[in-house]
Amino acid sequence: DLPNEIIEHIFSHLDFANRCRMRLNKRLCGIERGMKKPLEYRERLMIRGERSTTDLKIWTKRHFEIVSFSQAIFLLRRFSHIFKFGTIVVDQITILFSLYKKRHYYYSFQCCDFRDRNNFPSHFDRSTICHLMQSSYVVKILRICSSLKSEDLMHIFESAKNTMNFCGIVLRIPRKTARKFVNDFMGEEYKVIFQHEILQSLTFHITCSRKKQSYVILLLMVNVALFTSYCRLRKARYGEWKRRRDSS
Amino acid sequence: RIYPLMRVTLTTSDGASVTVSRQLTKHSGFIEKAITDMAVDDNAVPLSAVAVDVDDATLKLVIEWLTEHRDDALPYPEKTDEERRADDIPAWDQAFVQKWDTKEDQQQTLYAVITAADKLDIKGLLDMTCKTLANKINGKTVEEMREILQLECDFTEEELAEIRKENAWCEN
Repeated sequence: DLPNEIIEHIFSHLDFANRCRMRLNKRLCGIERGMKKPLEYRERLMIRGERSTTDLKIWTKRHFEIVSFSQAIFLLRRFSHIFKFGTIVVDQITILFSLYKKRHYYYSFQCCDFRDRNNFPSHFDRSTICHLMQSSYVVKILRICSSLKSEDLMHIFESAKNTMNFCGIVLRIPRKTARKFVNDFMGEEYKVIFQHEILQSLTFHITCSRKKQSYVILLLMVNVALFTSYCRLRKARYGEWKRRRDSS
Repeated sequence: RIYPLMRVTLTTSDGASVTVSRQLTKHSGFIEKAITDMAVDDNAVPLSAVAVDVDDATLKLVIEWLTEHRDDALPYPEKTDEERRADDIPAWDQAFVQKWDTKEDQQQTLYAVITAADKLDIKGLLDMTCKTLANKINGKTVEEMREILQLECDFTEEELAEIRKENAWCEN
């Protein structure tokens, strides 16, 4: 049998699809799980939906597949198992995974679904978000995560503080949930600030800093953005989308 | 640094001895360390012996590769993830590996050379052989990969179902 280091060396020369398939037994599965190497520079991984279908297309340099939307969400977990992402952004119906590289090089993973757009944020529950945080530096979920409760936010907040190398998370949540989060879990001094922020700009930031190995100060930022009127905005957006659809 | 006068005798695991120029062995971290540990004066002692845990047939292949690459720059350049690629194997190396493919035990030979390169700490050879194996695996189905690597499936039914579900998008 080849030693683990050599298997890892071989894994490092395989693209994403082949690395997924290389989990041939428990040992290889364990080695692959332990590796957190980003895609090679020549590989570009993209998942994108089309307007006419709920299917999604996945591209890598040598690979092209069509998958269902639920499968794409499943893959999201899979990708975060394998790759270390610089930034994960979930915006509207697009997921953009950026593998932060020096020299300003990025990889992107995009996932779109035009029919299931309203159900999209429901896929991002507490465990999924925490899982993404462990594999990235920044997580931004710019759709409203209506399924999250205030205790989930607290759990995410604590996880963010305890996850090494994690720099920040941006979530959009219903205003009611954010208020409850502040009231239930924040100290008095924060409550004043946050209530003020909620009233003034309807956003608040939780910022704290910590030292890593005495050299690097990481800024841990939890930025919970609130919507002024969740229902009204949603209705307005739906109207806008409907108008666009009719006009097209 | 060149060692034109010094030669090294390598004793293989099956008892054979091969004498090679120090110019070749400088590429092997293991042999260099062994010589350094013996505190050999390069100019004063023309010959030193090192035991290597590699069989004679494999060592001959390693020496053949080292002879071709004797003038390669040292240290072997460490490549970042961005620079790493599997399709840049030099033509001579490709022909060298192709030669093994005519043998019955081609896979075993490749494995033996990979293991030897690892044991002798020859980074260039290790990198090339790993790329070769990666290229063999690339694009194959799970069953074909299993056959190439001669691996048994030890997953439970549940674990196998989980992996199949995860891999559904990329399995042919």
